[in-house]
Amino acid sequence: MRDPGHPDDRLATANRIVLSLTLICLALAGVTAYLLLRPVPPVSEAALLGDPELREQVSARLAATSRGIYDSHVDGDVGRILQPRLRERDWRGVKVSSNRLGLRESEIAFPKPPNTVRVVLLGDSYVFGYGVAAEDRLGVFLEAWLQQRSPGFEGTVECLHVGIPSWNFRAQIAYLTRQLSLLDPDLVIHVSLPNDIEDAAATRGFGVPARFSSQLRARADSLIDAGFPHRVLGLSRSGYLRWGIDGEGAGRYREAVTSLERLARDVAASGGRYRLVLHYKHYLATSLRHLGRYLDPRQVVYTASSFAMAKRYWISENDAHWNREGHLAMARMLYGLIVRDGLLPRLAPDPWPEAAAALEEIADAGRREAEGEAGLPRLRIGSELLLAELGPREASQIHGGVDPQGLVSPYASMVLSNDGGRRLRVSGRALPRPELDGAQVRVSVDAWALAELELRAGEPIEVDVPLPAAAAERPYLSVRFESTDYVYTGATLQHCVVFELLRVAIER
Amino acid sequence: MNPALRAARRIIGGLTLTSLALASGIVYLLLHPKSPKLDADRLLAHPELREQAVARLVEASSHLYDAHVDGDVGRVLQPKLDQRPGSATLVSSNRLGLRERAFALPKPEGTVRVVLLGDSFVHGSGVLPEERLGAHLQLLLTQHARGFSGLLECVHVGIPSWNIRAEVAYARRMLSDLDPDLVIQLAVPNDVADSAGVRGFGNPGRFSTQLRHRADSIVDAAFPIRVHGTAQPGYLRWGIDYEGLSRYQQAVEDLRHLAGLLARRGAEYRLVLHYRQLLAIARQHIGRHLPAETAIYLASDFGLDPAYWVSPSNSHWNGEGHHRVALVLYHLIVRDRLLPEIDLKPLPAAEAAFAAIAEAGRREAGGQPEMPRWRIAASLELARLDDSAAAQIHGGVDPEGRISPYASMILKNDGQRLRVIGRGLPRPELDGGRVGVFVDADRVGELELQAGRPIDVSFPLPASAARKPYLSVRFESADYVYVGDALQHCVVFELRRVEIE
Repeated sequence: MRDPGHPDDRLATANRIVLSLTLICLALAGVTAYLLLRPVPPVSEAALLGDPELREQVSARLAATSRGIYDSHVDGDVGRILQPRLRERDWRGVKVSSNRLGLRESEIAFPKPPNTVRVVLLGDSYVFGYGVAAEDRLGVFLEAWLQQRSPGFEGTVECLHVGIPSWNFRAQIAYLTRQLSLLDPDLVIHVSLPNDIEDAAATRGFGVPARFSSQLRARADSLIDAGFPHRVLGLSRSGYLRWGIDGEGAGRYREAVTSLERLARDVAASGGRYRLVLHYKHYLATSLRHLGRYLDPRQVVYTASSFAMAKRYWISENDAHWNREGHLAMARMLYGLIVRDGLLPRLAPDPWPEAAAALEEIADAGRREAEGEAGLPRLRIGSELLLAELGPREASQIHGGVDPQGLVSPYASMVLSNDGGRRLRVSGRALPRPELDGAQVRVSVDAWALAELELRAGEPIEVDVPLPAAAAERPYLSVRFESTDYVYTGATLQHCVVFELLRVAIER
Repeated sequence: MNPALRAARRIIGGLTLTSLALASGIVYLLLHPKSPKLDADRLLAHPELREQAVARLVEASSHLYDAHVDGDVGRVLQPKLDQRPGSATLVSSNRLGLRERAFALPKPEGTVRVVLLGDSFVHGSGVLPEERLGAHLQLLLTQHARGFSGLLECVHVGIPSWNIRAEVAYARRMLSDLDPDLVIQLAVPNDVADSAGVRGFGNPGRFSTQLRHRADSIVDAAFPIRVHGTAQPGYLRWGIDYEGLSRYQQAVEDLRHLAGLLARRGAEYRLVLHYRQLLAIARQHIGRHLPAETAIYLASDFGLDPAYWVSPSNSHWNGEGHHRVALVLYHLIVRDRLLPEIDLKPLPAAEAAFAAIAEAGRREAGGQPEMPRWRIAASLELARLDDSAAAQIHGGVDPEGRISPYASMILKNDGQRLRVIGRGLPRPELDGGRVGVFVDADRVGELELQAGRPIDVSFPLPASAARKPYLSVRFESADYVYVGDALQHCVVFELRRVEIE
């Protein structure tokens, strides 16, 4: 028998301890990794409402994340800009500063100084640089490269970011065209997103987005957007607005085309060049069908969905706004575009293989993708909506203007499938609010006004009208309600409603 | 020591430290769980959470106003303000954004509710909440009601600068819930002017939400003073041309609508016209179009007495002024039995106040309007605007003569044709834009804009203009460009001369 203190035994014991400690370390590392990486479930409303402390924390965080940076603009088409001369305001994780105009940009000289080449980047939150530092935005990179790589040019290159979160086409175009001769751009690069056809919210008195649009003030809080089913009805799916399959969506695209044509014409008339960059992710074919094919094809650029959906370019797992790398990639692509199309003849920047590659990877691939089959997904759209029984599928048919109680706002719109239907049926009830007695509600299908309701407090509403013959060819129809009068409801009396909708259907 | 054993000990030491570090990390992570994930849009859709978050935003902001979803209303106070410095006094608000305590909606059974509807006078600019007329009136009614055991409340529904359209829209669209037994609306001369919206930091904007397409073309009697820096106010309140008259007509239509709805509910309505030297005008353009008993006129002697003002330069009522009006209203309620559920004791002090202020006011309003000797010209040279010429501009013309998307001015009717001389702005983005030219309600023609090109056009006056001593010349444009340091002034063309010739 060996002495227990024999070195070999002590070594064996030590090895066992090492093994045990290694296993413990691995286990602890596993637990630590789990605790760090475990998904955190979203806060449930029930938990919040039952826990005053948690509610307090959440409301503080909501307020902190949305502390106001916005100001109203005198032009109702524009609606909102930033509060002027913000200085390093903490906003949603980044510092935001603004110039005297209320743009997240350095001061802009009017008129444009001599020997300056000015590129205007027009758009919404992507151009604004949501979630990134001001110096990490595409215009900063593009400006530096254009300046450095244009050896024959001795002047100044400016790339100006003219973009505010949630600006839609109408806001972007109004803001630029109404100062075009002052800005005097050599090139306008207009970055568009699928939500550019949606209503843009105005501003409240403490600088946060409101629940109304200054472009459509008569509609009160009837905001139309693809996020409506999720935002208002609390159901998970998005609406169909961006697909442009019905009068509501297609009409908004048509209006956008008219404005874009005018903008391109005005920019050309002022001596500048214009490019529209459609960053439409999986709506690329839709963007070509509803926008691109009506515009000069040389002026339209499509960004490939392989770029748009690559999460390495996103600011977070769930937020597709470009991070620094995304902005860099876009800037490279734009540099390649400027060189290839000779968009800045005064500069004549040098060719740059990396930029040419980015152009091929993002824009050329995007065009091929957009021109491919216009694959609409299998849309499960019914021809009937029962407002008391809205599930996610039915809710996604509502573009806006109907609340969870079925109360209809001054403007409401929804899509129904049309499978050989001949009649529109609407059932509802006037609110028990005599102050609305005599108010008229126009009922339309697409652009056809089919009926006018006159409201009497508490009385049932029944509409049964034939569809116009031309509607037969349309697979989807928008049913819309428009009223010039309304009443307030809700805890703060800031929700405007007209009547209660029970059922709407396209029937044979 | 055996080198292998030494190495093993070192490894054991390292592993022990690593284990301890990991264990500490685990304890920390367990004690500091990840913050719950927020879906801000979804959570903000929840009324309670939204209200709580809004309260924090209100705390962090510095000014008083908030935008209202109803464009006819435009603005209210930020909700739940707590003693926020306002103009000369502290302001608190309820969840609706009114300077009033929280009141129940719908109205509880057994409550008698008097709604005081108006603008800054009802809001109580410059006085404490308890000094306002409703507070005095509620006390008077409560003290002198015989045999009434229910709740009696006077509710102030008034926001500074609300005009009649805003006041009527706000009251009408919540009428079933508000359920007043009596509405006393207080009107002042600027109630026919445009009402300003709100900016992102809670102060008034330079646009009206009622007329958003007109951008910064705000029309009001103070326009010449505010924009041109001249001394004489405009003629809007006199109602001597289309611009003023049509606004009075719209106001009467709104007031009738509200009065009609109240009558159908069995509620009473009175309109108190605090028009100071314009009482006869108020009767001519408002009062005489309403049932005779509806309109109450406050005598100019009262309105012009600085003893009732918050300061020598601010004619909003001070506490005593509010008290005097409350006495007038108390007697009115007694005399006209406006609250039939309540047996109210007549009060000599109230009767005396009524005689001195309301009866005198009615006599004063019944006289012929005394029009001052105006110097209203048939032409305006925009480069040479003196006090009297600037007073002819209702709004929409800046000191450089640039016309806003809406502009309006009064000219003496001294001819057969309207002549407009000006120039297109050096802004090609407006090329091809069209400007409608109106004389009163009639569109007499239009201008087509070309950058820098002179404008010299002449239009025959419409037949409807004959025999009218004054005409409104108006310009309306759907498009415009930005000028000014912040590019927030919207203009269409440069006007040099406008003339009835």
